[in-house]
This record gives sequence, C-alpha cells and structure tokens, in this order.
Amino acid sequence: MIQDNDSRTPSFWLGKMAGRAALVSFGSILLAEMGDKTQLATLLLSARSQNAGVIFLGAAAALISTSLIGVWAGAWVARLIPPRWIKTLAGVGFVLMGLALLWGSLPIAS
Amino acid sequence: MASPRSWQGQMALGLGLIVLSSALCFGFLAVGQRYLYGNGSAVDFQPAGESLALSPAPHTELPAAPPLTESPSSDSNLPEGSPLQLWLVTFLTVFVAEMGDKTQLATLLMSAQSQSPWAIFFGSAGALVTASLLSVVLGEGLGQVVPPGWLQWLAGAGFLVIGGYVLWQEWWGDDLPED
Repeated sequence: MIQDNDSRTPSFWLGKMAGRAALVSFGSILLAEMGDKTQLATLLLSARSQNAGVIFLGAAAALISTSLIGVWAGAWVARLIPPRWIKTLAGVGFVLMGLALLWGSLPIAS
Repeated sequence: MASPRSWQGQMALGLGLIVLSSALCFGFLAVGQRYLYGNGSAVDFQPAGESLALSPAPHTELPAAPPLTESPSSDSNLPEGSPLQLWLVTFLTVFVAEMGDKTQLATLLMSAQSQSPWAIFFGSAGALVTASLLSVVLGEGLGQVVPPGWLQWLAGAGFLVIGGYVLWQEWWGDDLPED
C-alpha cells in the first residue's frame, strides 16, 4: 500500500510482505475466532475440568495442526491453478466469508 | 522463513512441526502429571524421611490417600482418566470441529494467494493459540468481557475489505513490486 520505497530490493519487499501477511492473518483470524464454537468448546472444557493447562495444550495443538493443513493445502492449490485465477477466487472467497460472518446465519459461517 | 521450498520439503517441515508440538505436549504431561494431580496439597511436597523422623503421628493416614490414577474432579461429566486422555479428547474434539471451518478456509485462501505461506501459518497459528489461551484463562467471564457479536461483525468487515482489496489489486490496480 505504501508506495514510496520502490527502489528497494526484492528481498526487502518479500520481508515486508511476509510481515504484513502475518499481521493481517493474525488480526483477521483472531477476530473471526473470538466467540467461535471452538473457543466456546474450549471454554466449557476448561471450566469443568481442573486441568486447564492440558485443555489449552490439546486445543492449541489441534488448532496449529488444522492451520498447518490449511496452509499446506493452500500452497498446494497455488501450484495447480494460475495466479490470476487464484487471486480472483481468493478475493471472491474473502468477500463471501465476510458476508457470511456479517449475516451470521449462513451455513458456511456455522 | 519465506525461502522457496519444494512441496516435499514443506510437508516434511509441517510434519516435523506437528511432531515437535506433540512431543512438547507429551513431555509436559509426563513431567507435570504428578503436579497436576497433586492439586496443590502440601503432602506431595513434604520430604517423606523428615516427616517420618520428626513427626510421625500426623502422617500415618498418608497411605490411605487416593492413588494418583484417580481423577480429582469426579463430579464433572468429563471423561475420566489421565491428562493424556484429556489432552487427546480435547485435541480430537477441536481438530474435528475445526477441519473445514471458516478459519481453515481463510488460512487456505490466504496462503494460496500470498507469496509467503509460512508467514500466513505463523500469523494464523498465533491467532488461534491466542484465542484459545484467552478462552482458557478468562473462563466463564469471556462473555461479559467481549461481546462476540461485535468481533464477528468486525471480522466480517475485515474479510470484505481484504477480498475487495485482493480483487481490486488483481483486476484494476497497478502492478505492485510482487508481480
């Protein structure tokens, strides 16, 4: 978005984009996950059990595994489909996901 | 972190990360099992020889204490058993519930359209761990602290903005240095 550093090297832009991508994914997924059914399940489990640390470790390992699978599947999909289609599909997917979250009752939002 | 890798390398790294996190969890369980089951009672931390030598009378009921394999929370409807079983139950519940969920789809879309999938992984995993940590720490008070509806609306607006930005950049925007 900030265009005043065009004379930098490509590695500079890669690092910049990686940091920005990490920030964007962190913020949006944290917001989307707050109050989600997984968090409610974790809350219930840890409230009824005395081993909250074990509950946290199990939930954290499961979430890391699912996001790892998601990242790997995304990188695999990106190999098969040309970049323009991927960008379009991802943009449409993000818009649909945002609409579903806003609507709150669509089956994808669950 | 953003270095290009073959898909075999990515898969090996992913499996290694899973194995590493599992090993960390199991190691914690193996070390902390006694602490978790001791439930903070002072008997567990008293050296047995000293107590026997100095004051044998108050600890004569010690062998009658419940064995370590019995869960202290017998009144809850959770599956009874070792922390390992509890960990496994939580892992499987959250894993099954989260596979194909909107969070995983968002992660998939982000890593497909981004040039640095590992940055996406670290951001997403950090956000998920933070969310579950918040829910574990805050417990039942989370509903009063943060109204979830607002956050969901905010996340929806954020996804709309991200999708619009990606579409606009691809079809109508100028060429960025990434292309």
